[in-house]
Amino acid sequence: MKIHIKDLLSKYIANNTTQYERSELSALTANLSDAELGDILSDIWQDYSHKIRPSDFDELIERLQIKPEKKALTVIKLITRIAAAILLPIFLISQVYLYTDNKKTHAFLNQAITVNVKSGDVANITLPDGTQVFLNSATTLSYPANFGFEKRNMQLNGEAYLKVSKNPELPFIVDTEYLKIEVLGTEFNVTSYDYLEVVETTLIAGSVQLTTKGNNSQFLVLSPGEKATYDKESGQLTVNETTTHFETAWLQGDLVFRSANFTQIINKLKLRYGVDIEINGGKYDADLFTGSFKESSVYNVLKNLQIHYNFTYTTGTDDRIQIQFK
Amino acid sequence: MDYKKHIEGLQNNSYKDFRVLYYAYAGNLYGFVFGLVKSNSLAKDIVQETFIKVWTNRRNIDANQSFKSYLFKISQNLVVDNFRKQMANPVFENYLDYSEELFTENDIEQHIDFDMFTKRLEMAKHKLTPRQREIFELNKEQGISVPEIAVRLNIHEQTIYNQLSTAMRLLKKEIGIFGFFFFSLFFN
Repeated sequence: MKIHIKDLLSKYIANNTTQYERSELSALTANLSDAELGDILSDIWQDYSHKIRPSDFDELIERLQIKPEKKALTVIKLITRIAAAILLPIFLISQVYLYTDNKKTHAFLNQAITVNVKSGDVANITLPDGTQVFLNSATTLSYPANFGFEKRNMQLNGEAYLKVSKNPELPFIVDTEYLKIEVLGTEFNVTSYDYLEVVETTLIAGSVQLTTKGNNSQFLVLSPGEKATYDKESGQLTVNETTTHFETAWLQGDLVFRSANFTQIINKLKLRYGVDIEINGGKYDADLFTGSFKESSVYNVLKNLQIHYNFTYTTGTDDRIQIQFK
Repeated sequence: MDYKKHIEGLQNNSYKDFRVLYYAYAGNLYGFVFGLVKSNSLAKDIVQETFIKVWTNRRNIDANQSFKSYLFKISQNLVVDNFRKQMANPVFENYLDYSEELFTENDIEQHIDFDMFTKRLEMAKHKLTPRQREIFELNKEQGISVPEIAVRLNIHEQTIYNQLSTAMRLLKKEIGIFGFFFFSLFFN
């Protein structure tokens, strides 16, 4: 009988009984004592291996009001936790600041810094990498705000003398309209004015690489004492020996002319002294002039030039100098 | 599997070991109890009560004896009581008849449990006329026999049988619709 009840119960637990079996089971179990029924159920339980989603452990824990045991904190762990508690907010706040700050920095770094030297002025600047640049009159130099971080590059229009700080890892690049000058740590002079037909690069010390821009790129390496001249019209790049002192005479305030025709001389005077000069009549261009002046007055220079060229000059009320060829 | 280590841990108030034992046996006990009472809420309560006893009596548990046997020992009274209660409940009998009709699979996970059944039955009863409902409740929920109802309500027994069968058909249909809806939610 006990086995029969066990059978019926097992079938019942597995939802596998007929209506008849259920009424039989109902009647049979009603006649069993709790202990007898318990024994039969215990037998079935021993063989019962199904697992159905267990009820919530967290709920049980809550009802029991037991908590996961906490291990005693070591002093170091305690300090670490306190430090973390203090540092985390600081870290988060600083991250927010850095993030907003970075945006500003980026905007700043994308800007170019431009140094503009007016006619009649000269300037001396030191770049972020320590490179010294002497800028002649009417020269524009611009370099990115992040100059020296990833690369050292600058754009030049005019004349500059550069004492480049040595840094083999970061080549120093001077971009002019026609020439690209690559430097590793050297002293050199660059003349790249719009109004001049040639771009000149004179190397005083170290070494520079020159690359011409445009389709037929030319490449050359200068040695100290050499001057590279690029003819804008022919596109030819030539090298000559030169007196470096002469090339850099402008640094001492000297006015330097190198095989200059009269128009070039006057243009340079305009820039150097910041004056307006008008040339009237005559053929004057053929005669080339080489020399330097230490004069501080444009009139003294003009007086000297009168020896070479045959002209007179007058000064009008508007400070404009009128040159008259005979 | 040997849970001796965890029982010993439990005796030393280890939360971790209690948790291990819970996850090893709670689902098993739940399945067994559910098989007997067919009610999620009852089965859950019994499992919870049992494990509360496990925790409160943790110092008296014999680590050398079967934990599974121990679990039944402490839950036996609850299990037997609740099983008897269910068997004596006429609505439970209705439920069993109904599930046998609707579900042929043995997998009890797919069954509507007794809790769900009573909820649906309550809703379905709104479809009955007051008289049908009264007769249904007296006979199927309170277990009063048809002749007795006939005396109480002063109506013919045959009328009661007719009303009951109409009510049962209606309810089966209603619960069946819910059942279908229930399954389409889970198995589509």
